[in-house]
Amino acid sequence: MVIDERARELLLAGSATVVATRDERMRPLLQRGWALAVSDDGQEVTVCVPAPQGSRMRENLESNGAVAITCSRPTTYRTVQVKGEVVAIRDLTPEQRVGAEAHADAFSREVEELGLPPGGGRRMFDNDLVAVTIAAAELYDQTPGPRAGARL
Amino acid sequence: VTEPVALESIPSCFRGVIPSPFATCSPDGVPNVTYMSIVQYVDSDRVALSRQFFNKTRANLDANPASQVWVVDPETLEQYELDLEYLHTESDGPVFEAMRADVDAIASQTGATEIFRLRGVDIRRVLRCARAHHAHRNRWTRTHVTSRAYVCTGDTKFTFRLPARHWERRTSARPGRLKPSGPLAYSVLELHSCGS
Repeated sequence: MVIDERARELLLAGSATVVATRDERMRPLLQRGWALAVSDDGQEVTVCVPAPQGSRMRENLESNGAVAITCSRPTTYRTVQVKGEVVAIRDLTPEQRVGAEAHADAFSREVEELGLPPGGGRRMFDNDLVAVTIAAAELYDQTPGPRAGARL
Repeated sequence: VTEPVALESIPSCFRGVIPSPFATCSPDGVPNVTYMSIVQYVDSDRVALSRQFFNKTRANLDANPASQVWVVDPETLEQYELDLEYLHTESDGPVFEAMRADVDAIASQTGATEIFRLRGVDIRRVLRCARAHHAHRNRWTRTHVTSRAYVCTGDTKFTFRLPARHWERRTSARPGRLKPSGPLAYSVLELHSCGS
């Protein structure tokens, strides 16, 4: 599938990013994601996620590669989910590192509007990130309400 | 190995202040992730999750009872991951009524009464509760006080160490200068001659 401009905007607008994978026994596993990016051709999504060697997340990514990424705006509940399979796991580039830090700052500012302590959102940030690229296969509107789960 | 955490020890996580990421998996291996508005404590082994508008989540759980939810302490922002197993759904009774009161409160705050209408309460067994992994967990940043203090009395030098509970975890590559939350009590670490 190809992520069009509208879907790209929705994905990039979601400051709260969560990544789900699963193990061989179909048990799901969550992590927070940062600095999501969509490739120019709209076919791939890259997200920075804590997945050090030896972690359950890394094992899931390398063994079966099934990934779901949900991007949500805490202040509006607008939520989009993209699903796909891993095509690459790489170390972060300097630009991605800067982007992840900037994302964490933006997320922190947004959740401050909801009453969390200043800078508190950054406590959910993890430094030990890898860049995970997936081939986008499915895209869904996940905004709470009757259309939740509808394909985009 | 991450230490298990007792549900009773994290009551703040079950107030519904911060939405909880919730993941399921279809029988053919496709994960799905959404947000729960409330995860409610039931007892030391079980939690209740609101069942509101989760089409894909519902289908996944019908076929695969395994799920994972993260809850967040709104005061410390510590995150906890709970591996869950679906048990059954309740549409009346004390757990349902307590959840409905919480959901109604959220709905009135957001003005989305219909969207947040509670359809049932899923009771899930907690297979494991642990602090969410942070690779930086073992790296510490100092508070605005020093971690060690030195005092010489006569010819003896006392080295004091600040207990770990007064240290704040690093949350970024640029550690902040965080204030301790209460009085500081140093413990004696070493004794040396002042000349050493």
